[in-house]
Amino acid sequence: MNKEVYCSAMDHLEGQSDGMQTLLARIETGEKPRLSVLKRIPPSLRKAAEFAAAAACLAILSLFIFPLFQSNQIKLPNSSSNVTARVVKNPELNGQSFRQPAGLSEEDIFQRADTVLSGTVEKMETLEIVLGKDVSYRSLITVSTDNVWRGTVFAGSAVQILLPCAIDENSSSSNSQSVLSQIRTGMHGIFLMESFTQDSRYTSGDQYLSLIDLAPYGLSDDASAFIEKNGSIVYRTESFPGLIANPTWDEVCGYIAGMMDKQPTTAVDNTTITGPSATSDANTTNGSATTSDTKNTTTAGSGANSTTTAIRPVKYSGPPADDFDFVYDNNGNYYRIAKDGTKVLFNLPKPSSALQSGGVYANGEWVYYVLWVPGQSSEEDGIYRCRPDGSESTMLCKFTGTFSLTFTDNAIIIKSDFQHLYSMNKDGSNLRKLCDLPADGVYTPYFLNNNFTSNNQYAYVFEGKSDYTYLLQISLSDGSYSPIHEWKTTEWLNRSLAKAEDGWIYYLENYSYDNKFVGTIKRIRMNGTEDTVLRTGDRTIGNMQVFNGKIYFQYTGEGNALYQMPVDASSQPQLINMPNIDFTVYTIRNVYIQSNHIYIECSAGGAALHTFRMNPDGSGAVQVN
Amino acid sequence: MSETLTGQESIVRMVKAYYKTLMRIAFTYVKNAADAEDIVQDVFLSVYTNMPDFESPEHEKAWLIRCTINRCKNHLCTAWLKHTEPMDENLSYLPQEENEVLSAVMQLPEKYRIVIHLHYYEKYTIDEIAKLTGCKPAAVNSRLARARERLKSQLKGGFDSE
Repeated sequence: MNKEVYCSAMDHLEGQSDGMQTLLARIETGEKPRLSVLKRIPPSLRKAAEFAAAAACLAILSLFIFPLFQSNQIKLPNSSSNVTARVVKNPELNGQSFRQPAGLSEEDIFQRADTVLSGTVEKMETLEIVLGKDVSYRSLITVSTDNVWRGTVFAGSAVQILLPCAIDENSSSSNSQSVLSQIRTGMHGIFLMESFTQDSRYTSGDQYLSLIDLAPYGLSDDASAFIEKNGSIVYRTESFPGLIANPTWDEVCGYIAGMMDKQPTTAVDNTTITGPSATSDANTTNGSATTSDTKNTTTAGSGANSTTTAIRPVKYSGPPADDFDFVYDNNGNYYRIAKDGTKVLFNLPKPSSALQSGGVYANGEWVYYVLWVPGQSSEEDGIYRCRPDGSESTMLCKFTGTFSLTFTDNAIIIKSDFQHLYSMNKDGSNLRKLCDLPADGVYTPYFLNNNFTSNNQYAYVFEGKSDYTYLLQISLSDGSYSPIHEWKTTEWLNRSLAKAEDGWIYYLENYSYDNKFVGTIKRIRMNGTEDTVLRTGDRTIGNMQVFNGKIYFQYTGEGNALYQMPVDASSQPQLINMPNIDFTVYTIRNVYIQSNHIYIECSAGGAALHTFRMNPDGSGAVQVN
Repeated sequence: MSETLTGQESIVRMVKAYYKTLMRIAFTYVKNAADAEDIVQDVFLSVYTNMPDFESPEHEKAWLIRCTINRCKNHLCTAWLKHTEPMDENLSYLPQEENEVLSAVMQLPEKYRIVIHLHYYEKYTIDEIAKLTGCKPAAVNSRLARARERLKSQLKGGFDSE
């Protein structure tokens, strides 16, 4: 039979290339797959092609890159095209270098600051900003932190802070009324800062400068700093009536700590980032007041923000405190969402900027997160945790490679490189290897996917091949494991775990082949008995979630309907009332459940994304991006 | 690691599951293992970069195959290939019978090769091939019939219908 011979020939072809191993090695070391472009060029032309490529790179460097260095231009990827900013030396700064505070109370000043720290000014630069017809100057300071009362900065790290004014370091006649104008390199101080977000901008007409292009943090006004100068503390006394007169450094620190205790840390309102248009700003060379400020708060459901950035909840593992959710967007920004839908940027505390987030997990009163340096092994790769306001950040353990986390009441279970399980206490103690899952020979962990699920005693995974699958139960106390249920089938099934809850494991079984489609929701006891079909039908099922006694799911291809049914299937699935979305345009791409909310991510033709948050019954829907 | 590494885990799983399938499909189009390898890497690069959300494993596999087919077509349309004769893979290492059959299939026009491969090797139905290649089922059926007809004249026994 020639078709069998053809298949055999195709099988033999596979063995001629080690491309898959090379590709896997690249991916596992964090390197992106890349094309071997030169392979397409005849060997006789390769030298010439390499020379041409080198010449082209040099030309690009000389045309675009070198001039940037030469002119100290700052890249502004998030700002409008005609806006420029550059570092300048000894600019002509006329007038005073301070901003009047906005008349806020003592409590309000601490309320608006999402980051409060002390440190030494290591570097000070002056930026020239050209925004439309306006030219203005701002100082950018780099502070080496030594104490952090609030925020996501590590003590010992350096942070850049944008000041709302420019400081002339060479001037000896600094205005005695101004605190900020007295800042100098080498000085020690306390800074009440605000994190910039994508929405923090200086605007002039339709031009805008995104402040996040200049620095991650900013000071609002003259009431944002306490400076240690010549043995005394310089600060705006009328803004802090609760602080005793002529305080010592320790007394100021005590006062700050006391104010921190008074302030709720979960309801930060970043509304007061001010732009260069404030009337007291004397450094705008033409004195123009045409620029305006943009508020830094996005409120869910306001409809004012037309961004198409997708928002989705972070990994939900265990109950987080119920007054906030954590979400992240496509740009890698994390946010905390308060009950009223207010979204606040949440900067992951990092010991160094090279580290990138490998995931955030909300669990109880802590936020656990993974940091790593892509493409290389770093001493700082590992698992960290902090409070929901970013304080008390600590590294729990060093950990490298590919892994994901699951939480029990007291422990973190780490699944590493698909088949190694580790456990440690939530404070980072008692890190130990539980077991290596079987992954050789017949038992290729083909179905070992990310839906790894655990309760407090056992973890569960599906293993096996397409025609033989088993559910493996792994003891979280000693790492022993055993198959507790087996399925033998000739059909191409895909099983995925959804959740282990109340003694049951809920899972999905989809079958599609030869124009036949079957989607089945099943559950099985945690001891491997009572494998039960809850619902089956001639459509495959996706986006299944189990939450609070209900199973939520969608039928594949039916993009605009979300169903719920009781976990025991005692009643028929019911459609959930959806928010007022134009489903002739949008379809639901993903469904997530975190805390007490359902998040649905909608797209239009794979392009524009909007995320809605609603209560489990479909009420209270708000748009969160 | 969760978002990043979950993506990494996911792409590793995809590579393990689908690399060979996609290599075979790409080879069927471009008749050259090195080019096929580049195309498949390009497909996984696209997944790595965009991390599309798939509705189901079937959707995932179909997306990857469709993506591979599109890239193969683009590859065959490049100006370079239009003005050069691509070097076919040397199949002399294969057993004689396999060499003959594979060479005969590879001599078919590309639109016939792909339906033969998807149908006989990947076991896809006419409707599924139609979806994957963007053709009507009737067109797939007729291509399959014509391909079999041609192979019948070149190979003893041809490719029997089922």
